Amino acid sequence: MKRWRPHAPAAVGVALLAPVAVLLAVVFVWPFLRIFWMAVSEPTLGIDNFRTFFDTPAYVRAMVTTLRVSAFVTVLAVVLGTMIAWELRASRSRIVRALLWSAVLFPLWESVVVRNYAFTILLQREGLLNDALLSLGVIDGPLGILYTETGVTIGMLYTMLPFAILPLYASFASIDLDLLRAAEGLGASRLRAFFSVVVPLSVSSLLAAAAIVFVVALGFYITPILLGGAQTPFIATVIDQQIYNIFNLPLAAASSTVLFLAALAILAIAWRAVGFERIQRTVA
Amino acid sequence: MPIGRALLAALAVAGALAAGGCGGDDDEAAESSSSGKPSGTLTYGTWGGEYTNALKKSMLDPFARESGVKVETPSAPGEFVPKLQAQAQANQVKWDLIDPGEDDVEVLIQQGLLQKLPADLKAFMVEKVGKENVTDYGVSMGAYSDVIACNPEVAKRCPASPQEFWDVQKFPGRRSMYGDGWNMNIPYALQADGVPGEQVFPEPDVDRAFKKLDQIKPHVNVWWKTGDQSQQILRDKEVAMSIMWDGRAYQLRDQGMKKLEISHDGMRSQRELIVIPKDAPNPKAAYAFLRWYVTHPKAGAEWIEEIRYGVADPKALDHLSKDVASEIATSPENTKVTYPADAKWAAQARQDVLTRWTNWLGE
Repeated sequence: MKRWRPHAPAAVGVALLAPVAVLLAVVFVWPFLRIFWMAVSEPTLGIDNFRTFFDTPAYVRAMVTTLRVSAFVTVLAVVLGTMIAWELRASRSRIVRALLWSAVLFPLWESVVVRNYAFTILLQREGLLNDALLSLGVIDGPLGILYTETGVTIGMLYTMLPFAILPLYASFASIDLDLLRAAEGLGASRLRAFFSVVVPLSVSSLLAAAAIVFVVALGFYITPILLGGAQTPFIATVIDQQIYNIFNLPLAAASSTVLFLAALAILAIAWRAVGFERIQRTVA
Repeated sequence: MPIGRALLAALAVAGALAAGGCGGDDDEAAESSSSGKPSGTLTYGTWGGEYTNALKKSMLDPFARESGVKVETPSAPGEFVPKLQAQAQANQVKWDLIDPGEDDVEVLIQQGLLQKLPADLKAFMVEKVGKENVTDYGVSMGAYSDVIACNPEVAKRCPASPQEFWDVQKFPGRRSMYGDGWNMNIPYALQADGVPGEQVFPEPDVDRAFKKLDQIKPHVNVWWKTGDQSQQILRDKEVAMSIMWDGRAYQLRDQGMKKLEISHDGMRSQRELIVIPKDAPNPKAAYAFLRWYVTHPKAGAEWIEEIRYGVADPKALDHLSKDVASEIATSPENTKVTYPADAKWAAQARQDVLTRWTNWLGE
């Protein structure tokens, strides 16, 4: 009879990984290499496409806007998402939980276009928000939120919140509430208990939530078009223009590569800042 | 051996298909006769949405019924150039007809991706709809113009020309222009600066245009991005006036903004062309549809009723009510005050001026 061992042999691990590895190679690595190759080889071998990208202020600006707004949305989504996910976990009221769950899940069920038009109606000069604030006397003239970066940020945050809340809730759900009571019993405030007990136990989920939100946010296309101004396009809009208006596929490939590498660099820095060991410890 | 034979047969079929797909350069096509009974499937790559619906209802469905040809209408809104490039590169041209804007047609011609019309078909179409509506490569379709639309409930006075649109003192009010409209706004800037519309082309003074655009920029509150958005900002009073596409403006008026003022004065007119890609799989069906198109003015009239874009055949206007006929871009009233945009300039200036426009917009 075979002896039971706590660790499966390496071959089993490789075999289990193989389907995912093959899938990633086919649908991710290979296309990316092709895009990268196109960027450096067409029309001539070299970095001309990248030079064009960095020499065009509008392109660089679009990249910076995309990274900045996505980072901001990520921070907001994780902070707000933590609050909501914790309330979902800790609230004893069924009604509160039911309301929160529907608020979390609704954005996932709406079509992107409907959602964006809803925000148009809410945010426009003669829209609900401005009407309400004006009649309450909070503001004197309508706020110009629609067709600005603020409008885009609000629309993106609303879309991305569920992506932050769901992984955070999964992590919070496994935390024993008695741990917090113990902390409070030892004299910690509510907030202190949360930051000293819940946060360390959820580091990996916080990071996962942030990574998901950030990466998805980078690719936003229709929300910046419908809620933002043409003056501050996102990089996806610029890439679209390079393909469909100036018919320069290699330049679009270079722009995509820059976006990909920038995103990778930011994720790597964030990873480092939190500390790899700490993540490993919480995962293990 | 059965497997070996099957393989050989498959190779032979593939070879025949490849030969069929690659054959027929434009000289050959130009000489062969374009009449004759079509069969199989006509693949007409077009704009999707309302456009495709109107096209099917007024023309493609009746054509299919009469000719027995099956018609397919894949959508490629504004994506004809990169998609046809990709199809040609892969040696798999899928479209028999497409209807891109005239600038894109210029680009496709320069890249050698279109087939010239057979000489007899061209002559036939010129005879039916006039030589101004037929080129070496295609026939005009979907003609439209820009307009200045203005809501008098919000604006004190409504501008009716580029000069007046630029005059923010005399015509105060929140404004909108097309955010991707580099080749739209450059001519209007020049006209606002005193250049008569018919002298804008063939060589617009781009530097002068951007100087004039600098003046209007602080007063443009929304740079619209999509046709829907251009309507919504007027409907919701986000802006008082806008330079936009005529069909969108008339639709807005017909949907309830009865007082909307719409001016064609000094605006550009543009058109699409129905053209045949090189190596189209079923050119016979394409020729048959083009013949049908120039001989069915009533279908053209129905198309205009549906979507308010012009067609090649001037006789289509005879089948329309006076109100509709006078409003479309190809009406005699409107062609008197508009001027045709120069597609050659747009095709050649595109890369540089569009990039400059995008830079300028974000400054």
